[in-house]
Amino acid sequence: MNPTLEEVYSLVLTQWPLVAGAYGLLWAGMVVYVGMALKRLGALSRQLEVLEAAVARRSGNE
Amino acid sequence: MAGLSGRQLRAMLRKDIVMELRTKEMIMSMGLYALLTMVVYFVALSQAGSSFDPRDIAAGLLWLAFIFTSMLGLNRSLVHEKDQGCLEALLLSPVDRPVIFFAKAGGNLIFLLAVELLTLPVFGFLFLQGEQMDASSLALLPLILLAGSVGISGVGTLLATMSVNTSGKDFVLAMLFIPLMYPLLLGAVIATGGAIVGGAEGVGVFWTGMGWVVGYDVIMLLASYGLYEFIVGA
Amino acid sequence: MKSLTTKAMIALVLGGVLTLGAFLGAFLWAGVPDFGFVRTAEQVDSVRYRGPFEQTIDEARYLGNYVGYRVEVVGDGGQTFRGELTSADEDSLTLETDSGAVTIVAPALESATVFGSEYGRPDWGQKIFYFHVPVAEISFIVFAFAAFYAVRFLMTRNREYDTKQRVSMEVTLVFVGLTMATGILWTKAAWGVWWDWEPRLTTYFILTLLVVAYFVLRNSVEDEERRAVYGAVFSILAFIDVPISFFITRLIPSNHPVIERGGLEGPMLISFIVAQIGMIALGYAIYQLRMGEVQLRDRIEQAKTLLER
Repeated sequence: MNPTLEEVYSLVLTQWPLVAGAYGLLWAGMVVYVGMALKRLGALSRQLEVLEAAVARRSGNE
Repeated sequence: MAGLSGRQLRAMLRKDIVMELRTKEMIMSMGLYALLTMVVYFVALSQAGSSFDPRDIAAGLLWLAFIFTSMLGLNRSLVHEKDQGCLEALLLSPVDRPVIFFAKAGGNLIFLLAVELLTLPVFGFLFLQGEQMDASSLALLPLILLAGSVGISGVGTLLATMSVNTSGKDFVLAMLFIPLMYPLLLGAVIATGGAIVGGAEGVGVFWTGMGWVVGYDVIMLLASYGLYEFIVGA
Repeated sequence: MKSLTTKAMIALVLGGVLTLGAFLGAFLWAGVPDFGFVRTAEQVDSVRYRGPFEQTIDEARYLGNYVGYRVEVVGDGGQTFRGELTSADEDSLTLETDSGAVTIVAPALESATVFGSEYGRPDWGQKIFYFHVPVAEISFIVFAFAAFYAVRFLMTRNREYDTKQRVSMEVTLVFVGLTMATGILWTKAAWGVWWDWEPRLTTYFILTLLVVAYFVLRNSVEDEERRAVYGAVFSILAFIDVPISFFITRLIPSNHPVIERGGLEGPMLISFIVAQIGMIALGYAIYQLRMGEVQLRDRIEQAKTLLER
């Protein structure tokens, strides 16, 4: 980190809660949305595997 | 073909107008609704005191009344068509789809203009009595009323045709209608405000707002005209 | 289906790495710009020194703003006073000079020069820009894709385009929401208010309402074919607001900043570009994930109907 930045970082910041809030919302929103999508995807593909195995069994019996 | 569709258009318009003249339902409900809006305005402004100039907010109040009244009218006019199976019958007849759009929008435009012409003097009587008005700039008002109503009834007819087939008819119409109408409303309020304030500056403001509204009308009417075919066919 | 998730995963990892890199670059590498400047350090609680400042004033009444500063006053008779300004109004000026207090009654000035220091206030709110702008751009781009698929659907009546269109609108909704959230916080940081009815904010708010209205419309139509057509038609109409919202800050006076060519340089520009690429990858990843989910559901339905037979 360069000296100017270090000096700036040492100052009191009034805007930091807003900046932190913005990035917090952004990352939390992204992570939660993608995480939920991935979780649903996993559950659905497990369900599909079971169903397709059942379909294969039945067509094998016939 | 042009002569034929002109005849079809007239026939469909006449059907709407004759039905209206027989029942007077649209004009009555829209007119009374506009009157009720005036009562609400009086209540809303009752604590404002005498220090403020009613001319400053007159344009906004007027268009607020028009937009809500027009939503009521649009919803009713297409609910009627649907309940009586009229729209389906029209679709079966060899009528061009754009003709249906222009006929419905034209009917709605006529009713909306009638209600606006009834509301305007009542509004002036109730809220603008004794205010300084510039007669020459007030003469511009019909222009913006017409331009605004053309946009409202054109886009509104398309949206109402969609919303009558949904489960939440009037709420869905409001949800689709108000955000899409925002540019037109803003332009119309700017222009009407200019006409009410008057003077050279007011007239300049009027034409700025008028430009917005006409531009919006051209773009949105073309889009609605192009898309209506898909909506009635679905 | 497998290839779809693979694409999504690659885009997700790429987007994650790039946005994380851009995030670190924005905070550790790119500098902090000044948020205008102030004359006295006491005006704000975080400042940095920018250098000396000097201003010439030709009318006594303007000196009222500079009480507490060192000034050099030249009267119209040519006499000069130097000292700290203790009070100033239209009738009199008082200076604390080295040789005691001097009061000039009914001042008729030749000129007065104010000396002081200039302080910059580091603009931390600007850090929000590195991600707010890319997220907003993606919301416009994905909306454009949704409108494109809507047109394709109306032309071909192919159900696949309807699915693509709906999923694009969902991604638009996510990005519109994130743009709104970061934007509102930026507005507070930069303008001191949470919301302002300013052209860009207003048109973007309308855009948000239109995207919400799209889902309200879809959810209240029962017939599947009709739902698809209505959704497509409405998203085309709603798309008209996108160019309006994008260009409005360039057309009519607006407080909302616009990125100008050459306005950013060095580390700031690089972080910003990396954030843009990363966000495009993330947007694509989310789109592909959702498409994969829709296709999985279709296959499950197929398998179920096969089993019920």
